[in-house]
Amino acid sequence: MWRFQTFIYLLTFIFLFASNSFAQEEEKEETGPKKRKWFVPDHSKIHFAGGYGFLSVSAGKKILRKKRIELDITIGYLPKAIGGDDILTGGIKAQYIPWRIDWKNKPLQIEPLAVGLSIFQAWGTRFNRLNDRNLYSKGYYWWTSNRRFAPFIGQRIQRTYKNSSIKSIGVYYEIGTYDLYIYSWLPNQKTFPFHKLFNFSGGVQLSF
Amino acid sequence: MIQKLLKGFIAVGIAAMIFGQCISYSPFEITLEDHEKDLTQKNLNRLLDNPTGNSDTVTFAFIGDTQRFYDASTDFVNVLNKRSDIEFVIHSGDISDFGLDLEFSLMAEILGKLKVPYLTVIGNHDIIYNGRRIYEQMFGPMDYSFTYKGFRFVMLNTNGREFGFSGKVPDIPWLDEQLSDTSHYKNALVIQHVPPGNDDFDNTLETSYAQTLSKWGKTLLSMNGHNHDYSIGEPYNDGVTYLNSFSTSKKSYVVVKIWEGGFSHVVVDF
Repeated sequence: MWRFQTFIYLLTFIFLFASNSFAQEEEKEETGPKKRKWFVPDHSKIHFAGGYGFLSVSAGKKILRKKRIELDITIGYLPKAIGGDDILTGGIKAQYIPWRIDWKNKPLQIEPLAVGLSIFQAWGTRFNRLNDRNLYSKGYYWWTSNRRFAPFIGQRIQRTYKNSSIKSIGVYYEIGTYDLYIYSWLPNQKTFPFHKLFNFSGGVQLSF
Repeated sequence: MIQKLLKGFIAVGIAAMIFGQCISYSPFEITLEDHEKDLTQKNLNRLLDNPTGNSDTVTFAFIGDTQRFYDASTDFVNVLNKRSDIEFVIHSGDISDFGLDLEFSLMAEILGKLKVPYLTVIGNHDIIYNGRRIYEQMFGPMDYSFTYKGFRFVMLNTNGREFGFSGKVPDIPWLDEQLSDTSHYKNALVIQHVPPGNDDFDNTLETSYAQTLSKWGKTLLSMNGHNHDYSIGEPYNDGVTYLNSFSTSKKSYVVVKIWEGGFSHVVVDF
């Protein structure tokens, strides 16, 4: 239950932070649109839970199809005090956002659906051991790699800023699962508790 | 309007969280609840404080490799709970498939529904990722032994490959110590996951393992899992019988009955 509370505190903090401290940015003088180099990110996120640890940070770019595809590089950390083990996790996250709906007369934008896939891996010998070819021939364990796949869906709401270096601040949540969970659930639909497949995570996104 | 929208957004989020019910930091996390810890000791307390059945014999069910077989393992528990002649259950390892926290929790919940105590050894799959630490927290030491009605049960970690064939797994000196006080037990049973001679057993220790079992002259059985199927034989011709358990997915289990100087076994389908 304390996880739930942590999440609520975090969300509240993020909301306050987002709605106040960047409000002044609106007054900034106009700057012309600049063409960015391809590798310069256009957004950044702080994410709570969801496979990458307690907190993770990411930088990414919106690309293709009217910038409806969002790619992120994420790195996260789970401290032992919270998750029973110190785990550093890194990965990439891709999601497709089919709709962006502007709220009329308000600087708000809603993304009612995001569908995505996260591919991550944890660092440490206990996670990499399976890749040791001296001990395990290829395919000894079929999932040999320590790379895990985590599909998710989510929603996001953004406060947009015109004429500012900050384009928008958004909060979002995701419902995700892990490949190995799905694989375990599939042949055990009688007894594997369906709700245990899913986890809830969320964060704040800053677009610039 | 914005407030309504925000409220709606948060409401959907909270609903989703309740639906999801849990927050997962990492599939590799170790977050056991108190009732999921020290299960070996808890089960041993139950068993040793209230021995059941005839005082001269011990009757137990032998299973193994429950891994991802949640449906089949649940069926096993339901079937076994209808019997009244079984004193406890021995699980020959591979409680999980990927060594994940969630898997251990789910299987412990299923096995926890057994009316009788159950005891486990660690399997190679239980060592994957953070599995070893989860096993040690959830169950206890990887090597342990207990004496029930005068019979010595030695539970041994034999997952040599998972420890890089270090020459230390299985721990032969420890095993020898458990069997050496022959005046304090009637007969011994040694239970492990990987059987000697298997590719995953440290082959530098195979001979000393077999010799340790036979040299004290009181070991009835060496019981293994890992092969997912029943087998019985005396591979070293030294008076020690080697018995392999079914995985629960095979929908069969073995009932072993022991008495001083002998044993019998029956295969039961479910």
